[in-house]
Amino acid sequence: MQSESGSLSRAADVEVSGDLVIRFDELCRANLARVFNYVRYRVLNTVVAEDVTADIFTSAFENLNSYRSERGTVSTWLFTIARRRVADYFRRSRRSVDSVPLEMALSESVHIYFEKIGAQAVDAARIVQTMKHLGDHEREVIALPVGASLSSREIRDQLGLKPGNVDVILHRSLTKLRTLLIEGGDSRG
Amino acid sequence: MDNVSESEQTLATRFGRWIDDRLTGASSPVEYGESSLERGLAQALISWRDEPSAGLLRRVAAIPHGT
Repeated sequence: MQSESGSLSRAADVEVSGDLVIRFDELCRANLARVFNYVRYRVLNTVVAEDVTADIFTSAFENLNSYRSERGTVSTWLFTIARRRVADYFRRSRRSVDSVPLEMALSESVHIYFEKIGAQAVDAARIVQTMKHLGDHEREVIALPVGASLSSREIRDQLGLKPGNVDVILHRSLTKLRTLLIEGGDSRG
Repeated sequence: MDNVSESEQTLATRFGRWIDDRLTGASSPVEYGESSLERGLAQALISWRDEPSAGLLRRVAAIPHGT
C-alpha cells in the first residue's frame, strides 16, 4: 500500500490472537511520536533516539503475535518494549547518559526564561545537561509523562508503582532538577 | 515509597494533574501555584517534544517489508 503522503501507510495486518488483528501502520501512527519522544528524553540525543525508536518498532513488528489483549493495551505493550530497548541501548553501548553527546540540546534554539534562578535565562542545553545528574529512575519518570504523554495510571502500570507514587516521584525529580539548576548542577563532573 | 507526608502527596498529586492538563490541553486546567520554577521547568520540558523526522517515518514504514 502506498501512501499519498509517503509516510506510514504501508499496512501489515497481523492476527495476534483470535479475532484480534493489529494494523502495524495504525500502531505506528498512534504511537511513533510518543515513543520517539520518550526515547529522546531518555537518551538525550536525537540521532540515537531515532535509531532506538526504529529498533523498537522493528521489535514490535516481529513480536506482534506475542501481544495478549487481556494483559493490557497495545500501547502499554509497546512501551514495555520501548523501555527494554532503551535499557538494552545503555547496556550494549556501556554508556550512561553522562557520556551521550547532546546534539539535541545544542541544536535547540529555544530559550526558556524563568522567573527566578538568579534572574538568568535558562536554555534547553543547560536543562538537558543538568538532567544528566538525575538518576535513571528519575529521568524515566520524567520521560514517560512529558515525552510519551503517558497518564499516571499507565506509568504506574509500567513501573509497578502504587497509586500516588508516580506523582510524588515526578514532583521530587523536578524539584531536584530545579535545585540542581539553581546550584549550578550542570557544571558538575 | 518512604516518608511521603500528606502535604507532599497533595502537592505532588496537584502537580501531576497540572502536567496532565497541559499535555492533554484541558479546557479548565488545574491551578498549581506553589512553585513557578517547577511550572516553568515542566513547561520547558514539554516544549522540547518534537515530531519524528521524515527519515524516521520512512524507516518505520519500511519495517513490514524488511527493508
